[in-house]
Amino acid sequence: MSSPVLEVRDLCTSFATKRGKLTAVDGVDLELVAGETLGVVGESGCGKSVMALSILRLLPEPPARIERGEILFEGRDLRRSSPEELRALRGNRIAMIFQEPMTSLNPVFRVGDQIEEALRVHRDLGRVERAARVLELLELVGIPEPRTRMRDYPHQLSGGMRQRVMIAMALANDPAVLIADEPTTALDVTIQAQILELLETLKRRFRMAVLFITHDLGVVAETAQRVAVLYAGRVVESGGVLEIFSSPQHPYTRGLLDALPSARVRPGESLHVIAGRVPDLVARPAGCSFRERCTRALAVCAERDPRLAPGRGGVQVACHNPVPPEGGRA
Amino acid sequence: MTAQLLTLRGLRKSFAVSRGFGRRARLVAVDDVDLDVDAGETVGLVGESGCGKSTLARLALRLVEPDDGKIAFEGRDLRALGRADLRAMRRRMQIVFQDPFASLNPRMTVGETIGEGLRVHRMARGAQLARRVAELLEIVGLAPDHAARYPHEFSGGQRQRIGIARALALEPRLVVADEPVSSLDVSIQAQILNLLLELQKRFGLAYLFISHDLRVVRHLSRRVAVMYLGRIVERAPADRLYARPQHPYSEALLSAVPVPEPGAARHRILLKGDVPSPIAPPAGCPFHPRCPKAVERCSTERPALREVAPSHFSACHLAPF
Repeated sequence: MSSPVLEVRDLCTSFATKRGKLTAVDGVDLELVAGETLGVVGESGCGKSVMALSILRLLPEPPARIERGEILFEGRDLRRSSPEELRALRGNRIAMIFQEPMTSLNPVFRVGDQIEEALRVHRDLGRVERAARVLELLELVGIPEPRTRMRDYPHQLSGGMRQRVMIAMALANDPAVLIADEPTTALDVTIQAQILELLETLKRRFRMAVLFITHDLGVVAETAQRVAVLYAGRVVESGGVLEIFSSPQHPYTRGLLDALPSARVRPGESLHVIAGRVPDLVARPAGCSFRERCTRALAVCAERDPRLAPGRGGVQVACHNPVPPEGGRA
Repeated sequence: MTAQLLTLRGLRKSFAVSRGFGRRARLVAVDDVDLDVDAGETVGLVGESGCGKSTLARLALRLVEPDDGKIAFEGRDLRALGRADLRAMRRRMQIVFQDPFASLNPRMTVGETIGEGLRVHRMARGAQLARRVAELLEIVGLAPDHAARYPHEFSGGQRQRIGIARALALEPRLVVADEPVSSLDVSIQAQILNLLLELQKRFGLAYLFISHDLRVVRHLSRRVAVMYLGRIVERAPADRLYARPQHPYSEALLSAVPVPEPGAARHRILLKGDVPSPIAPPAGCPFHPRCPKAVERCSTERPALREVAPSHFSACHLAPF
């Protein structure tokens, strides 16, 4: 395996709230490798977006605070970078796309001008070269009639086309890392399929390292080579996508997969349910954060917090009583 | 033979839309739709944004007035009913909405919300009303003392349970569920789907279940209809439609659903372009500009929905294939 492009070590991000300190991301480790997609899955409030925004230092500090950890990119720690250094990096070497392209695009500027701005900020190109590059980018992301479309305003484009514009903007400066936060969640399935295909092609062509954040297990299975499952701000299981989906070892991962209507459950039969709810991140209980919802909890789970440790198939799992192979399903 | 509960025939609805600078256009949201729901069964309605599925749901309950067509419920023509009769009929048909945050009145307690229908229809009052509300809360898996609380105190899944309790209050025979689990997390979605299945068994409810999620629709429905640009393009028993779709749009839709099985051998059909505007739908078959199978005839002649296999209807010139 080649060395990681981006490395996150023990990242911990908290927010000051009225009730006290809320730890949204609590000791997360991640590695991104060129040409590879790392899928981060989890449900609402698991800290996946906060994690992404922390990497780019895009959270308002305060109320947010990166408590500890390292964010290593091209030999430097982004936690120690100055605002100027960060600005030079964002949208350049590290780019990001979001769920809702309409809120990320400026409604009063033509889309072509918005892509051009990304070039103007980070590159020393003449006006003609920039215009040519905008056209090239729009073609690259599959926008039909790019010469006409570049003069459109965001509202004139469909949701799928807007997401393509966002991707064009993100790619403008050949980023080494692309962070995609739920990029297809707002799209219809046929359009989602187009965007996923596009991201895959571009990742290969430019050997980008992609951090793909989603709540959709199906999307992760189809896009990622490696997966990290996030629960209550922590990685509970991480490893190869095949290993994790074919034989999940953390009871939470198993529970999520079983909760989906799939070919393995007969129509009309009861679906597996994860009882209870996510713990309060202001007052996290002692021991494993999942134990109160877990069907495999032991006495030790209330006492000691499980650390990520090697499991089967090179997967890391944070559980005192991991799911055995073929186990967990009746 | 099960009794036909809801019958829709030739239903049509268009809206006037402004295109700016005083220009007006007509958007045909639902175009010549036939659909039946039998007592106690679930009919799934799938389609992407803007295909008209939510408008169809509202037409079925006459919450939106159709331009043309027939709506019969329990054999009675809903469009011929007067105000009082329609209101009495509405007790028997209820709706659950997608957004549990927008569909509950934030100033009403949960008890007031659930009991409102009972009060309006003078079916219960006083202590009897309170008892019935408590019973409904228990049926949907909430605690009776939740009646005194306000919606903001509940999570998304719990709010959806409140919406379901409200729909059940009047003992309906048909519940139209418009994307009831779309805004919920996977583990919560499973809880609500289980609840819907359990309630159907317990009370013999029929559902018209609307969703963009084909997996969810498959899990709940006996029969499924696929909508595209205001029309039903395919209608069949669920197992047949999922195993052997007979419309290229259904095929593409099914192939586009990501499955949580990495490396699974699959053939994905990527559609070209976007859904065309319903203001100026394409001539001929509305799907032809994106259809990988389209032939000459498709751009000129609009295909009718016809039976291509037993109980399997498709609006494609090339079906069966």
